[in-house]
This record gives sequence, C-alpha cells and structure tokens, in this order.
Amino acid sequence: MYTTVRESQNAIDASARLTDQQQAGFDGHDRAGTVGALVPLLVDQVMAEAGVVEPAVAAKAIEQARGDVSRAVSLLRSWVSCLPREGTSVVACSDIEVERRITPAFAEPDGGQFLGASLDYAPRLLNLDVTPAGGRASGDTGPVAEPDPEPLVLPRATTRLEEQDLIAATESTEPVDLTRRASAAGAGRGAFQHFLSRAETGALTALAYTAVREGPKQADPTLVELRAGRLPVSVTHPRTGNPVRVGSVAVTTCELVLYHVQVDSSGEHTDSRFTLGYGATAGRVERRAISAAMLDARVTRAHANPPGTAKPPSDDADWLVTALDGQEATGFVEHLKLAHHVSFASDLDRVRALGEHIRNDEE
Amino acid sequence: MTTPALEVRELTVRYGGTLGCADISFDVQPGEVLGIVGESGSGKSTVLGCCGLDLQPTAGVVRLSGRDTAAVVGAQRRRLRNQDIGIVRQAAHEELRLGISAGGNIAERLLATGHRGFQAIRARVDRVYHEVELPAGRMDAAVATFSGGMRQRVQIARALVSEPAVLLLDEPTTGLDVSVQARILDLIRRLQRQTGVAMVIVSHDLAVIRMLADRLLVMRQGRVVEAGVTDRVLSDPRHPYTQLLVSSQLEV
Amino acid sequence: MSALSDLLHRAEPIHISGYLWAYLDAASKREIRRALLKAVCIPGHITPFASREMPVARGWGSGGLQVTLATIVASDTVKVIDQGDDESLNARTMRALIADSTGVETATDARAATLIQTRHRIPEDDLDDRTVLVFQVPISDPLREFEQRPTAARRMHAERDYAVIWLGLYEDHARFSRSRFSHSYPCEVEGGYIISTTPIPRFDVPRLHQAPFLSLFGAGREAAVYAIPPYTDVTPITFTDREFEIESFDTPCAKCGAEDSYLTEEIVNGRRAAVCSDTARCRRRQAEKGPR
Repeated sequence: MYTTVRESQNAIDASARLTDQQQAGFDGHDRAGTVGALVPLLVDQVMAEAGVVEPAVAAKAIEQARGDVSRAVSLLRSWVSCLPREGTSVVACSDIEVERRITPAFAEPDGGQFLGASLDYAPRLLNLDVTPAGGRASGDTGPVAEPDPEPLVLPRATTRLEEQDLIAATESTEPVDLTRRASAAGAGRGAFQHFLSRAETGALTALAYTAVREGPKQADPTLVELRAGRLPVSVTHPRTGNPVRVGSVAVTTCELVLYHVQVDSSGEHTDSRFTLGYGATAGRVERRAISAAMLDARVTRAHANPPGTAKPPSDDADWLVTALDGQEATGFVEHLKLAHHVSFASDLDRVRALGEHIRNDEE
Repeated sequence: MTTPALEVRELTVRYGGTLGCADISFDVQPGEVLGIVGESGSGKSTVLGCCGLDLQPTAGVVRLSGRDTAAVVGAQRRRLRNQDIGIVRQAAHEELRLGISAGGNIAERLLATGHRGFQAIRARVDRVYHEVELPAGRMDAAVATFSGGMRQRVQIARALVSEPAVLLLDEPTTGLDVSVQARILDLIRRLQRQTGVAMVIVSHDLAVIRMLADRLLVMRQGRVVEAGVTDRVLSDPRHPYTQLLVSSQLEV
Repeated sequence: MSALSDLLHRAEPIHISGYLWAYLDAASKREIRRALLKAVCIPGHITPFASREMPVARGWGSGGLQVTLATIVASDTVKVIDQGDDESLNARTMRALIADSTGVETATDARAATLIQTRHRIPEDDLDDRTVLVFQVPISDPLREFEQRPTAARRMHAERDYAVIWLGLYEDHARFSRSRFSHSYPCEVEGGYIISTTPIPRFDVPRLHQAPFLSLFGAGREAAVYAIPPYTDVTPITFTDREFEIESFDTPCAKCGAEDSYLTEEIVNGRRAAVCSDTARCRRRQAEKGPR
C-alpha cells in the first residue's frame, strides 16, 4: 500500500496493523523466552552492542524488533538511558571465572587451556533435520565432565611476556562510562575501550580485518589469550561499606600482541618489544573481543610512531569512534528515509543556478 | 645592524630517545640565502621543521624577525605561518590540496589571514600565479591535473602570495627532471632577488646549494660540522665529511 | 518571564501515562539544561553533552527531542513541524511523544506556540521573544565537510580557523561566480564561531539575524548542542563584494497565492506546481481569501 505522507496517521496505523498481522502466525506463549533459548549468541550480540547485560530484556527487544539487531540494540539502549546508575564495580580481567580459555601463543600456559562450550570445533554442515536436535555442536549425547564447583580463576597468559619485559608500556586506563560522556573522541584509552566494547560487530570485524591487510607483514597479531567466563559484580554495601557480590555477567576478553621493531628516522632500532592489545565484550561473540583487541593494539602502536606518520583508519582512534557505533551509523543512513523536500528545493535552486552559469559560459 | 629575519640559537630536538638535531645556531638576514646540506637523517629537515613552526624544539630558540616563536601559540602561531613564513616542500601534496584549484591553493593563505574581498584576492592570486610562469587559463584547474614541476610552481606562488619574511625550501627540486629542475631553480633565484625574502634551502644536492646559497651549513648526525660562505666551503672544504661530500658530488 | 530565564527554572518531574514527566529523568534533564546554558552563553559554540538514547532512532531528531524535553514546562504550547509541515510523519511522531509524556497544549499556529521543534524550516509567521525554537540537527559541524576528525575540528573552532570554508567559497566563485552551498549555509555568530544553519534553506537564514526568539540546536547522534541567543548577529559567510543569494521562486504559491514564502514542488491537480512549505500559514491564508 502506498500513501502520501500527508495522510500519515492512517498510514502509520495501517502499517502497524500489517506488521502485527505478519507476526500473528507465531502463537507461542513465551516468545521472548523462545528467542533467548534458540539464539543465545544473537542475544549476546545485542547486549554487547547495547552495552546492557540483561538477557531476558534483550530477548524481548529482539522479538519486538523482529530480529533487526540494530533496532533491538536501540530499544535496549533507550530503555536504560534514563535509568539511574546505582554503582560501579571495578573488576580486573584476571578475576574472570573462566569457562573457556584458549592461548594460541602458548601450548601450555600457566593454568592450562579449556575449550568450554564452543561452536568452533563442529563442522559447518547445515543440518536439515527438523527435529530440535538439528544444529547441535556434536552428535554425541554422552556425558561431559561435571562442572567444577569452585570457580576457576587463572592468571593472564600475557603475564609470562610481561615478566620478561617483552611488552611495550601502554597507556594505563581508568574505566569510562561513555553513556555519561559527550564523546569518545580524544577521551583516552578508557573511553576508547568502552566504545569498542559497544561497537557494531560487523564494522568492528571489518576494520580489524583491514588493519591486517594494510599493515606490514610483521604487524600480524598473535592471539595470546582468549578467555570467556563470568565476571563477578560487586557493589559497596550502603551500611557496612563492604563489597557485596550481587551477581555476575558473561564476558569474553582477548589479549593479543603485535610484533614490532621500532625504527627511528635515522634507521636505528630503538625498541624491540610487543605491542599489547586488549579487547572485551559482554557475551560470547568472540570475534568482537578479538577485533577490539586488534584495533586497540594498532592505535596503541600508532602513538609510538614518529609524528607525521600517515595513519590508516584502523590506527586512528578519532576516526574509529566516528564510524563504528552501529546506532549512529544506522540512524544516519535510515534518516534519509525522512522527508527532505525543503532541503531538496534548496539543492534544486543551486543546481539550476549553477547549470545556467555553465550554459552561459559555453555560449 | 638590522634584525635578522630568522635567528636560531642552540636548537635541539629529540624524538623520544632519538636525536633529531643538537645545538644548532645561525642567523639569516633579510635578502640572504642560507643553504643546509647533508645526507638523509642528518637532521636538516628537523631544523627546517622548527623554523617553519611544524616542530617544537626540545631546547633552544627560534626567532622570526626578532620575535621568539615559542611564545606564539594557537591562532597567532597559525597566522604567523600563513603570513610571515612561506614553505615549499619536496612532496607537493604535503603542502597543497590536490583536489583544489591552483588559484584556491594560493588564495588559501590570504583567506586564512582575514582577506575577504573576492576581487582583491583574485587579483593578488592572479599576479603571483603569472609571476611563477604557470600557464594562463589553468588557474581554476585542480592541482591534481598539474605536472610535478607545475606543482612546485604553485607551491612557490602560495608561499610568496603573503609576502613572507622568510621562505623555507625543503628539497624543492628533488625528483624532477633535470631540465625542469634548472628552470625552477632559475625562477627561485629570480623571485628571491626580486622580493628580497630571506631564504633557507635544504638539499642533499650541492649543485642546488651552490647555485642559490650565500652561506652554507653542512650537517651530519644532527650536528653542524662545517659552516661558511658557500664558495669557500665548496672550494676549500675543511671537515673530512665535507671533503667527502664535495669530492663525491662535484666531480661529475 | 523570557524564554531564556525560563531555562533556569523548570518543572519537577511527575508521572503521566507511564512515562516520567517529559520522558527524561531529572539527572538527564539537568545535564542537558546545563549544556544548553553553556551554549547560550557562548553563542555558536558546539557544546558537547552526554546524549541519551531516545525512543527514536539516532538521526531522527533524538537531539531536538532531548532539548525539547529538557526545557519544556507544563505551561508551554508546543508546535512541531518537519519541512514546515505539522502533519508530516516525523512531526506527528515527535508531537505525540512530547504531548503524551507531558500533557502540554499543542498548536499549529506558530504565533500561539511557545516552544517550536522543527526540522528544516523556521515558521514564516513573526515570532517574538516568548518563543524558543528547537532545531533537529543531523550534522552539527560546518567543518565536517572539510575535516572529519573531531579533535582536529575542535582545534579549528577554538582558533577560529575557518580558512577551509572560505576556500570552498572561493572555489565556487572562481568557477561558477556564485556559492554552491544550498541549505545548511555556514554563518558567523556574533563575529565568532561559524555554525551550520542546519539544515534550513538559505531563505530562512536572514530571519536568524537579530531574531527576538531563542534558537537551540540539538544533535543527538553527534552529542552536541549549540544556540543563538535572542538579538544576536548571524551573518552568512560571503565575500564583502559578493551577494548572499537566497532561493528564488518565479511563481506564487499555487494554493494561497503568497509571493513571499518558501515553496516546494508538488503535484497539484495533476500538475507540477510550487506550494508553500509552511502549511499552517498557507492554510490560514487560503481561509482568509475565502472559498474560490
């Protein structure tokens, strides 16, 4: 049905009815719960991009947005934007209660590797069975090891490199809440980290990928550690002043290094150490953490370059923060659907005036 | 004695742990041409960068017409660069906007210093455009469509349009054909004499220095190893490095 | 009380129909008002603020909406237009959200409104010093076209380093003898900062100069506000020997016959025709003329 925007209230109502009708085919009683159970990684991605960890609400947002990730993120973000910030809980990456830990740089890291639950090791064969078992990571229904009752807390694998002074010093960071700041541009590494943790997944991956393609061969990153698990959240008790654990959130963090020999303008080698990159994301979409760590490393290393060195976008924090937020990008692209006939009339006026000038020139 | 157009005193620049240049001092009087020669990495571009206010000295002083440039910051510093200093670089794209017309590139320095009358700007740009012998009728064409030699001419016009006190040239003809190079050096010499601008020219090419410079600094590893009147240094080099440089280049 | 001093004394939130009063929580309102006061004190300065995610998409007026909801009081009468039209989709959505969360009066007559949220136009009726105009801004920075890195652009504003804008104008005049800027024409505010009059047509720009009303610009996606206080100089960027040209129309409005209004092209009775974009004023004029 086409309609002019003038008769808009009818059009909006009709559009809403049509949308409802299309959804009426599904009569499950707990649609959001079903979403959460069927597509947990989608829920994770939406929570990560929204910067909000609340799986049931995220599943509801996905269902309401009919699977449009960007819209679901928008719903979640605007839901929390006016909620008060009741407290902060500062936790270290090494506090993670590990459920999965892999260390590609080291075969036998201190504490060992744990594959945990992951789709990485299942063949990518589309299973066309209609039974609920379709899409399982393994056909095996045998028992898995009982989960350890004690949370598994491990040192960072990077510690081994740090102890040997093989990691170049990085800017130390204070956590920054970007939702209570105007802009991530020029606000330092803490703000940049929060920005990356909420960046749009596809854009994040694409930029990290271009970073590898553009750089010199020696810029290839090596993943030191990817860990997924639960990060305990504590708040200060209002009476006793003691920290009280109130829950935990699922997170994935990544540390990787770039091999890089610093060379100055006269060709002298001035440093031979690795540049460390760190990335963290809510949930289990692991490429988010890896991509963020790659970009963090690139930006960190670019700081050490002599002034005036050309920066590709992947090395330029200022550029990245203008491009990688999914809400800003989709918001702008989609606003082009709004009426623009006033500004367009202004464009028409100029196009005609300049065209006239060009024609007069030719005569 | 007149105030030097450019005074450099005990200039030192360090990049992190690396030395850019150390303890450099010299004066350039109005109308005088100073050459700085040395191999790549010798620190000559670092010295020029400080004179052009692109780089901040770690220690030492750069004075422009008697004024200490360290005290000039922000908008005033930018104004100084757009008004009193002209720069011509080896890589034209570092100084010019390739997508903008030749005239626009020249006009930019006037626009940056508050000129607001279109006809007056246009007339001034037109005059200097023709002084550097660029082809008539191409003034409104994008610099991207210009040859290497023409781009250097646009840079020279851009540098001179504000009638600066000091003109800085960093390898202005390196990479150009020999015949083009000769014509541009002729142009630089003619315009320098015509305007009386103080000039510092950095080059690794002694022929360029011999043609233009009244006096000469020879730099190596961030330090001046020899200084003097150009003819004296080139005909009677005293430092072993200068002797090596002269014998290897001027025999050709 | 003038609109400006009103900014300092705004209502406490109460609950209406499941929202906080005016949707935003008190802390958010305070912060946005603080940014707006700063913006008013430094006319034309792009003032950052922690833009909240709103129940409209980034780029769909989330900035204008935050400004409106942070400044609105119960006694306000609100008019919302998009393209000059009260009935366009975006205007309707915005008006519903503002009215439902506050219960304020709405109006289509600009002269009756105290708070006008607009996208792309300034109402053509005379406005007085009781009116606050809130602009929805897609791209706040006039330097964006020339410098994309925000920290570099901030430095350029701080130093009033606007040579690139003038250079664009020089290129246009050299090649076309006129400026290419259509809407969002860059203007100098009180001899200082250059703003983007975003994205109103040049036709509306002269009305910002020494205007009795307060203009607030909100860019939600870009997390910035800026302002033109009442009775402030707003000068379009032009060479001293070149005219500032507004859009010209060679026919009167096909509906009301006005010769002094901004027209857009539409199809009227099967024919291409130019009609007023300010629909409320156009309709009033048609009624005044009486049935044909």
